[in-house]
Amino acid sequence: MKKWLILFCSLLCTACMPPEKILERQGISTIIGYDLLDDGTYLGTISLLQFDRKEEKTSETISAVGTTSKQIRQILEQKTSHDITSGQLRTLLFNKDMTETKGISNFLDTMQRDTSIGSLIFLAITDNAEDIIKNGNYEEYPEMGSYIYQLLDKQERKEMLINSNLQDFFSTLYEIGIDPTLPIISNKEGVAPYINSVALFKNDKMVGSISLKKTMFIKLFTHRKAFLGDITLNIPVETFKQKGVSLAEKPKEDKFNITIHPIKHRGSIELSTEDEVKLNATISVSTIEGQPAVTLKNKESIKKLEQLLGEELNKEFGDFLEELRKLNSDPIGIGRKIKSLRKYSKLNDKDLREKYSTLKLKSTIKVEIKRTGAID
Amino acid sequence: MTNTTNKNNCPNYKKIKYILNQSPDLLCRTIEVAGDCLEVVFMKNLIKTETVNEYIIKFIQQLPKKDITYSYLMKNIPIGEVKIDFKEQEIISSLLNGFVYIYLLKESKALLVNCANPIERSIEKAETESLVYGPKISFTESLASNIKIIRQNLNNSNLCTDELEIGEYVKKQLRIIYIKDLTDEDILKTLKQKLENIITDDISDSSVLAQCLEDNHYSFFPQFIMTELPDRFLYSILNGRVGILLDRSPVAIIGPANFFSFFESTEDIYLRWSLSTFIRYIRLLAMAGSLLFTAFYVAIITYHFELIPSRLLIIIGQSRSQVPFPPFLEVLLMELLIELLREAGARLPSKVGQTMGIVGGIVIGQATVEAGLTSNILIIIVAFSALGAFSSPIYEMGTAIRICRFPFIILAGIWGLNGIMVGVCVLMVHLLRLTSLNKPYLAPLYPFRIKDLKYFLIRLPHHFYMRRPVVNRPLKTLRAEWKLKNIDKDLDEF
Amino acid sequence: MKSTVSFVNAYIAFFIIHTSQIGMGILGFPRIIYLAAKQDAWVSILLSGLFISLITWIMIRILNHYENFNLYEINENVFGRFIGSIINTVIVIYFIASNYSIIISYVELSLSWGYEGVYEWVGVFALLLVTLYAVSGGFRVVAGVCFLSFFITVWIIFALYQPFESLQITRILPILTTSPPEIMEGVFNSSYTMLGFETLFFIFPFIKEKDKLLFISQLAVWFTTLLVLFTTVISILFFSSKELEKNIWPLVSMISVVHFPFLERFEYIAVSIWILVIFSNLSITLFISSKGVKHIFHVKQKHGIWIISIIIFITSFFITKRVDINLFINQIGHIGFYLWFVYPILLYFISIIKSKILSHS
Repeated sequence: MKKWLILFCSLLCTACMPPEKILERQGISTIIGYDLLDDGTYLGTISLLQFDRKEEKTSETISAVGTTSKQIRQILEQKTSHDITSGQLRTLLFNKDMTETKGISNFLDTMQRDTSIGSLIFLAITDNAEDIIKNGNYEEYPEMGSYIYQLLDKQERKEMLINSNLQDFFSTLYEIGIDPTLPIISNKEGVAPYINSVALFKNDKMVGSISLKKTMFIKLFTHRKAFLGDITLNIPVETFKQKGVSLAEKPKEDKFNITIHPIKHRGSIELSTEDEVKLNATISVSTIEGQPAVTLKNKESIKKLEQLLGEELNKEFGDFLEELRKLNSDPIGIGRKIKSLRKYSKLNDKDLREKYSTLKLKSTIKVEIKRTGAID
Repeated sequence: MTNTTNKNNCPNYKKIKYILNQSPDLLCRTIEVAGDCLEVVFMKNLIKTETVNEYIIKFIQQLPKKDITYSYLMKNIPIGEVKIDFKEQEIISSLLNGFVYIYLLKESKALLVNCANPIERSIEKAETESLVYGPKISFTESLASNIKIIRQNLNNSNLCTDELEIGEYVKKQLRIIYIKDLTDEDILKTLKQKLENIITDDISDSSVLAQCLEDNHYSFFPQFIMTELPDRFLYSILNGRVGILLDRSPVAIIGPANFFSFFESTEDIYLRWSLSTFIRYIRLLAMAGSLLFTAFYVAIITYHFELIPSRLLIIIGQSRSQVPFPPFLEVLLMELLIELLREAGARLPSKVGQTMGIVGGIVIGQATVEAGLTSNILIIIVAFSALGAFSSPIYEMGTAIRICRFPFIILAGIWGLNGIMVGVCVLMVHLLRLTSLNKPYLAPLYPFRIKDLKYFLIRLPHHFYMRRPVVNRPLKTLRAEWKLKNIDKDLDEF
Repeated sequence: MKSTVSFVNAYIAFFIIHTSQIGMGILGFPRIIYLAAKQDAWVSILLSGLFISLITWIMIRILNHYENFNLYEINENVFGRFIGSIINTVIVIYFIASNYSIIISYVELSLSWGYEGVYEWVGVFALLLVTLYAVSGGFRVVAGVCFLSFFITVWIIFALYQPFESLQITRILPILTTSPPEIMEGVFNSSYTMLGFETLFFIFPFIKEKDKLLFISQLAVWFTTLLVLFTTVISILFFSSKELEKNIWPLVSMISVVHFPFLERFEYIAVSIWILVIFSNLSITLFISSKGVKHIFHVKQKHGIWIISIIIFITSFFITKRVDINLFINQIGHIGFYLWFVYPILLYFISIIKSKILSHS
């Protein structure tokens, strides 16, 4: 009796299977791009990885127009014989217009709600998402989604970029006192898309963009372990002379070019007085290229060079901070630092932004030359 | 001496012939020495003819008349094993075991002498359990030679070989082998109790006996270790376990067994500790992989393709794109195919069997992939899980795992990953509930005995093994007591 | 001869208490406590740990006083058969309800993670069957389930090393800005997660070395507290406040950042493995409630588990909406708070007074 009951129960269980999602019957979306159209609706473009019987063709690109992301998806679903699934979705592209005028947090909200979408998908901004996805140049990858994923993943692993996945974006977007950033992907005829610059946000709206090089200053204060990327400075020869750094040979041009390779860095933000913030950073570097060569034999000359490089970087950083303040965007997280102090912990977003625009920002960047390679 | 009872009980040749259904094998040689008649009765094929001729017939014929008496014969017959006090039943069974029945007509008294000539295979290398390193000898079908092997290897006075007879119709000798001052009384008592409870006409093999002795008859898992290696047998006995040898079967039973003891091989002791530990983990991992790998494949391809990393996705997807079946059927098909190959290979003579393996493995495997009936990723997975199941040193455990795989595949087909986890829960509870001779099956893990883990999960250098594992509750725990040189010396001091 | 009580070593109590505390609660716990106590949630957890450790001490005092009794027997002993039975019925209902709350919240979680479209009762059914199988093996098996499931699942903590890389220390600053009433509310709200130490009341007669039990139970309680503290602090540092307030299962969302070269979307695996975590919860609650049924109604325990399972199965057709489940879990948390945070203290004083009176007369 008991055995039969168990058998019956297990038979009952087999009747209630969850809906199957067999791999080869899925149209696996790897990238979705959204463009804002003139009439206020959105154009969604999707690249599907699908395994058909013909082995040569593994992907398909389709697009549809709709007002919400789920409506777009519904229409896309009509256009293909496979089930569109987003379990392997790796990248979301947004059109620049849309990010500037409408903001993207509403779109992202449904992405977060949908558990089949992972929180490690990358977000990126572009001029025209449809064009990128339909671009046929994707090196050796089977389709555009995989290519862009690899592109962004490489950048994240080498940490040339500030982390730009869904989780990071949300955690900076929702945090009071810091604004997110996203990479901008540029698309040109005949070449594979590449990362061009970085978009700055104020809340969920894009307000401007900076070059990849300048992300260094953000990473200096937000990511302790990030890879800053090599820094190339062009310093006028006169400054050299003023400081008394001796060069090995006489420069032919009036600029001295040096590339340094950061090894370690440490940045701190301090609120020194009521309305003055000190941004201090130290970068340990090794010099890898100098044109013309510079002799780094004695302690004195190294110290002078260090000072010089620090000042040069500091100048650039100061300009960068001004630029940020003009846009009222705070990707460095100065506001967050202020809010973490007991005195200001009750400030809300608006108060912080006001305070941010009136703050005095004082920056100092120190450079430390640790190594000079195999030769002096 | 009970001559009186003996007198009444001794049948003559005719009566025996009648009891044995006029068997043509039964011979009677009547010897007449000076008027006194003796009947020498025996089964033609079961005795050693030379012994009977030389030491019975010739011996009796040469005796002077006065010595042809029961009491003289009893004392002087030149054969080792003589039975004088027996019941009628015993006469028949002794005759059938190769005894010779000598009946003195005058005194109507009889005695039985052993002239058995049992068929014996020579002692050979073990077939089912093979060792790379260590003794190669294996048990044979003969109880006598098995006992001989054991006695020779373990010459201790406390080695007990209690005799029992099992089977009503076909009587078979059975020996319970243990070391008296090591083995826990409780284990012995439960085992004897269980043996007494088995009332059956016949036991065909020791594997049948082991199944009859099990605590849970429905379980997939073997609850006794079956081995044909004397060194493994002795190793277990010396750790406080009990062994059973059944006549006419080359496989010994060892109990109580626990789950992990099916993954240790005596080779682990012979080889160096580093390699042994490594291999032991490989076995356990291979077992887990064999159990779950195909199930994971089904679950992931059917329900959770999100889990596949991008680079792998395309490989798997493309290999699946041609397959007309859902993954569940595909896997069942391949698993059954592999089982079929194994079975065919095992049944066929060994030379043809090898060819079968090649034909099956290469030709069919290659062909199914090319025909698009299965993906080549699956071929790899199925082959791996087939290999994994055979990594257990005890054959029975391997078979248990092969069978256990199917419920997991089915569960994965129904509920995906959650199904597998439900299966893991059931397996866990099942193993927890199992006992072998009333001792917990998952023993050193639960109940947790940290000192025993070194016996079952890892193998350390030998000086760590000063005490016997406590799971079998040996009476004496101390095993060895040698000290390492650990006098505090400085560098370069001697 | 089989004895009716199977004894286990004292260390098993650690695993039983710990695994029955950790369950579905911890997945959503960081959010619940953050809603009440904000970034000072860790103070609430430490306070509640302190409180629980005190109550465990009281429990041991009561149990030692009655030697080989479990709570059901103590209740009958202290209050008499009638009132004792009423209290015992409340306890049994509490355990049945908490068993159901664990099942249904797990089923809800797994439906959100990849099993959309399955009926709730299917999951409830499967989990109940497995639990029945475990509990019908008796206390030894239930204890074994707790022990093994701890070791099979504890490594998930180590997978949290990946979220570690994106922690922001500033999120927990400034410390101690939340008002004491809010922190106390956090303590109150944490009760559903922290409950489970009450199993001590019922496993006590099964433990061999009773003198070690005080130490072991304190160890278990503090281990749980620290584990909860750890996950909560990590969650607070990992999520921005608004995000933490939105996520129903912050721990699962946090695990979703974990990925390996051979495996994406680790949270699917983690959600599946969580079956093993709740499995020990389910087994122990079913075991205790069926023991109570045996005490009150004098039915055999093996019949009791079937009766209770059928009750739970039938309930699964009624409470299926997210809102209802949340309400239900909140109610259980509150009842649990009064039953296990307040009642043991009362019982302690009553039993002291009663024994004083008895010794006088």
